[in-house]
Amino acid sequence: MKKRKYETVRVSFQQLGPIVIDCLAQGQEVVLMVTGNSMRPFLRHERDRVVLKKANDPAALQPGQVPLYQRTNGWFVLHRIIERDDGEQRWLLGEKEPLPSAHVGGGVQYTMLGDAQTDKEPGIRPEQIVAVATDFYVRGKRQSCDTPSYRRRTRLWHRLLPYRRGLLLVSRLPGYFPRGIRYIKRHLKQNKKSTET
Amino acid sequence: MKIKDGFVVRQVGGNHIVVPVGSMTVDFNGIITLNETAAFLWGQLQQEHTTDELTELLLAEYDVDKATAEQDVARFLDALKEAELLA
Repeated sequence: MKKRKYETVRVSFQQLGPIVIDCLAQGQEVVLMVTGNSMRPFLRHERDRVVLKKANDPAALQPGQVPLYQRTNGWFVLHRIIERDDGEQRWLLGEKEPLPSAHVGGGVQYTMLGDAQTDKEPGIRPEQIVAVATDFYVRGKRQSCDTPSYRRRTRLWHRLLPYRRGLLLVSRLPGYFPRGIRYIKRHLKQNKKSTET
Repeated sequence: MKIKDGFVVRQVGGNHIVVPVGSMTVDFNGIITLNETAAFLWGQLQQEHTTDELTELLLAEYDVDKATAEQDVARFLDALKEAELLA
């Protein structure tokens, strides 16, 4: 007897969006698979999952929080808030004292940055916030976004922003290494073959 | 038999997606999708039906022979049982 198998159907978030938003609106928690690697090293593509809840007050999110928001082009994105500017004060992730506001438009604006990114995305407004992450499943283990150690790690990672590209490269090395060795072996073999013939 | 309360089927793209409406958490990784036939049977099972009735309904709706219909109904019911979706 063959064991039952389920066929896995992939449905993109752009398609699921309306359903997810309905669930959130009804106060349900939503668990989604992370796609894309823009939140490395904290979240991995199709390995980790994120638990989302509707933000009670989308204008009151703090730097360090990870909301799901919709870009003006319609795309849904999960990135970290690194700056909250309420028109008077500007709070930066990891800084204890606020800076004067950098925009004159009034209202709250967030600046987003994926943990693996270096190009900031300013000007995200509370209306664009769909939900906020409360927990992550990293390698299958549930982890709250609200623990001091998690926050400490996010602040540290943010402080290392000037070295981010280099650090990410290093963090990927273990993945590249076996591939690199295989590449060299194959190359040698091919060379050998071509000299033989 | 009949489907448990607390689930709705939503259609996105070509997929029919079973969404739990009562639960606290909706995990979209474990979510169930239905194909066309399954969605039809799901709809029928909103009311009480026996296996034979379901096969008849399937035969009435689709151009399919009896053996295949029986097999499909059985497979569908197995999957529902496994997912504990039958009341």
